[in-house]
Amino acid sequence: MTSAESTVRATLIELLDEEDVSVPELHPDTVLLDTGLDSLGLAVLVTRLENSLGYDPFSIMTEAAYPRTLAEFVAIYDKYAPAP
Amino acid sequence: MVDSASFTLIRGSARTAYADFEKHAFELKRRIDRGSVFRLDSGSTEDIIAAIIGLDGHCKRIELVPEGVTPPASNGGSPAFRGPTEWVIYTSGTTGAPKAVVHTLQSLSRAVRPSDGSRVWGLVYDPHRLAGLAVLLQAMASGSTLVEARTGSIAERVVSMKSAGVTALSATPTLWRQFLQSGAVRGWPLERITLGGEVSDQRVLDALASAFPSAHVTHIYAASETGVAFSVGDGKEGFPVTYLSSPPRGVRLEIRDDILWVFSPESSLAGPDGFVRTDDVVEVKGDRVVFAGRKTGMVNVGGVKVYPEQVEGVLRTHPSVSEAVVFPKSNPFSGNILLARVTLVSPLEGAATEIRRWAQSRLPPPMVPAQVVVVDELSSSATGKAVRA
Repeated sequence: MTSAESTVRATLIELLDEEDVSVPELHPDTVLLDTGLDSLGLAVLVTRLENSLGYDPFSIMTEAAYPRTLAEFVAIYDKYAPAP
Repeated sequence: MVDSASFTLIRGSARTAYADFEKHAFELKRRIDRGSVFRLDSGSTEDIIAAIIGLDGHCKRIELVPEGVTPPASNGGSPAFRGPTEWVIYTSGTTGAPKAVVHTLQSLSRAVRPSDGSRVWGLVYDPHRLAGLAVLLQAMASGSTLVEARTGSIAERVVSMKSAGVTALSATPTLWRQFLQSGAVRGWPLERITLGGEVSDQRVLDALASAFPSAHVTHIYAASETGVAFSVGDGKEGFPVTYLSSPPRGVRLEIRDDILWVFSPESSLAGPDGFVRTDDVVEVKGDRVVFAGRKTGMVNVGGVKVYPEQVEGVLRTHPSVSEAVVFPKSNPFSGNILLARVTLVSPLEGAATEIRRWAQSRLPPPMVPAQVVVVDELSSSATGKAVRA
């Protein structure tokens, strides 16, 4: 199974770059809101990922989820990845 | 009507003179019972003109049904009909389902100026709709020639109007931008330019003034709900704040809770005080009233009220952007987020990122589109308005 991790990381870095936020080192336990991304930034990230990955897990899932760390965020994308 | 007899319709190589329309109108009137309901659902411009000449005052109701609209079954006519005839036209449905609105020929003709003189008008609008009818009525009342250019590519339409000698044209800002972009307008001696149907921003007004230095540029405020309410001819966006205290041509305007209300007592949507609530959110900025956007188009981004039109306006100020549409997408973190689609004046490396940066440095974060996508062309609706989807 391929993970969405590399796409998530690349998109996140690109976005922080555009927002003129210095990009911190990203670890699985990096807290998303500590990267300089606010909830609006998170919304932008999810929108762009839908474009590159082709799906938006947050619109598919029935319960609300608010991932805290990068690993939790990636896990949601992996869980809802469409079957190849 | 003054000098109507010299009215002529040109479509391609076909010319129809006023006398032919009178014959057509006479036939219609003979065939249709007095006081009945007349529905034109696949009607051509010719049929509408004949109905204006022959059936106003004859039919109880005339319904102009545009393509794609299924009207409810209408109840029967009444032989005891005494007038005036009800004209039913449909709103464009840019923001929601098309709505039937009842007018009279008088309320539809409110902005018509027979004394404006005989000209050659272009028709790029659907004549079933308010904007198209306004052009039709103006051309008829002033005994002008009307050149229909509703089909073909943008450049083809410009060329056909130019070669038919069109000197007066009314179109939406979206269509005007496309005409300018087509490159085909060079050397077109337009005298009268009218913009309507959407908000005219300063940029499109300036671009028209510089492309057509001898033209008189007017932007009009009209909605199917109110008919044509007022026009602005000073080349500046919005309208003078003095319109609120001294009504332009007697049409009273009021701002209630940031929404523009127009006095239009003949309208079927008027309240007991004769005012119709438009859907337009306005702001007073100095001595101008400017349009912020449509109330129903308002988007909540992270708790902030955002009007896509305002963001589009900023994107269009980028030198490489020719057209822009901005629309919402829902999302669990901020409720909604905006997305933008733009077309470029000329190819530009890294345009999407650069245009987003442009927005970022000029707008608060909730108004910055999450993503800017460069496309070859944007779709516009049958009424020539940009489609936000």
